[in-house]
Amino acid sequence: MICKPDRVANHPGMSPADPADLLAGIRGLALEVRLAQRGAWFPLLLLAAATLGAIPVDRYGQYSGVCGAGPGGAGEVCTRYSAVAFCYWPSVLILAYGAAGWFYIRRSRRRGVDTPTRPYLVAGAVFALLITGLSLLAAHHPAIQAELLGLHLRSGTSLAGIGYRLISASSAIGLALLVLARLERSWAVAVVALAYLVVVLSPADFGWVVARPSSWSFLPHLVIDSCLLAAGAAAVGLAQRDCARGAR
Amino acid sequence: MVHQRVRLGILSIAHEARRVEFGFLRTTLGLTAGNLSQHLTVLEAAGLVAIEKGYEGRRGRTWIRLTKSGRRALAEEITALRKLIGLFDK
Repeated sequence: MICKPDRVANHPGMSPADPADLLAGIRGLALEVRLAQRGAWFPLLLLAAATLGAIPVDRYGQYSGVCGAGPGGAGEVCTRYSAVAFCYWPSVLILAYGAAGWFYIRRSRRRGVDTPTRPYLVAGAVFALLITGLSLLAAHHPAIQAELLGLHLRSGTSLAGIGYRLISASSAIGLALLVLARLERSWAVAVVALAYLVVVLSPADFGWVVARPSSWSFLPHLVIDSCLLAAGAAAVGLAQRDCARGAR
Repeated sequence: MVHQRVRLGILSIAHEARRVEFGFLRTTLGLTAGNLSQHLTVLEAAGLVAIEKGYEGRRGRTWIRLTKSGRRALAEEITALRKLIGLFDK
């Protein structure tokens, strides 16, 4: 499914002019180009490091709280947020995407084949800024977190939690990874992106919970997300190396 | 013209990337520089590829890009090949 080394050797320049062999040769050449273009392990590793870097930000950042009337005037809803985190995430993500862009450009010059990464870098920056904006809005208007697409959600429900996690930096990372998977035409990156989004959006904590009011209650979520990205980088890098070896 | 095996390979490779470098084409297709240059000259004259020459530091680089005509020609050739295969299967 990921690579077909038996077809790659049949280049149009070498194989007989049989239509089926020519088409197989074209597919093999396309695969060789895609393998040369792929480098998703690097941005995955960068994003894993960026996620770990948020640990001191969340731990030592100054927190502020905003309370407001709940949807329909029922009860009071409060939010707690760190202003430093709102600066950290868009800055570090844009830096990470810039570094990824540099990596892909340098790699394409060395290998002699361009990779169309601009859509990924633009999408990543747009998602990062958009979600930061939405998070800021939700932080200052607590009632927004209890309303998702016009539906009134009870605070503490799974759906309210998903809505909150949808406007998180992790979500922005996952959505941009889907764009990268499409650009690299890589099933491996798509699987990593989807698995990451499922874990980020679901309440999955793999049994590791640091109960509030501990100052470290955020820790499991950041460490799990970071490990997923790092594991994804390793998996994608190994898959690409195996495909490249099979192609030779 | 596109049906020629090497030229089909060049167009196929160029189609996958925004542009490819001469050395990558040569290595991937297993050709000599002279042989590849001849095919590229033919394709450029037909308007199917565009060739950009430049330098990276002191090192000369030649980049090949598929034109719109090249994309169209490649798509037509692949369609024709698939039809041929369909005829053989019948």
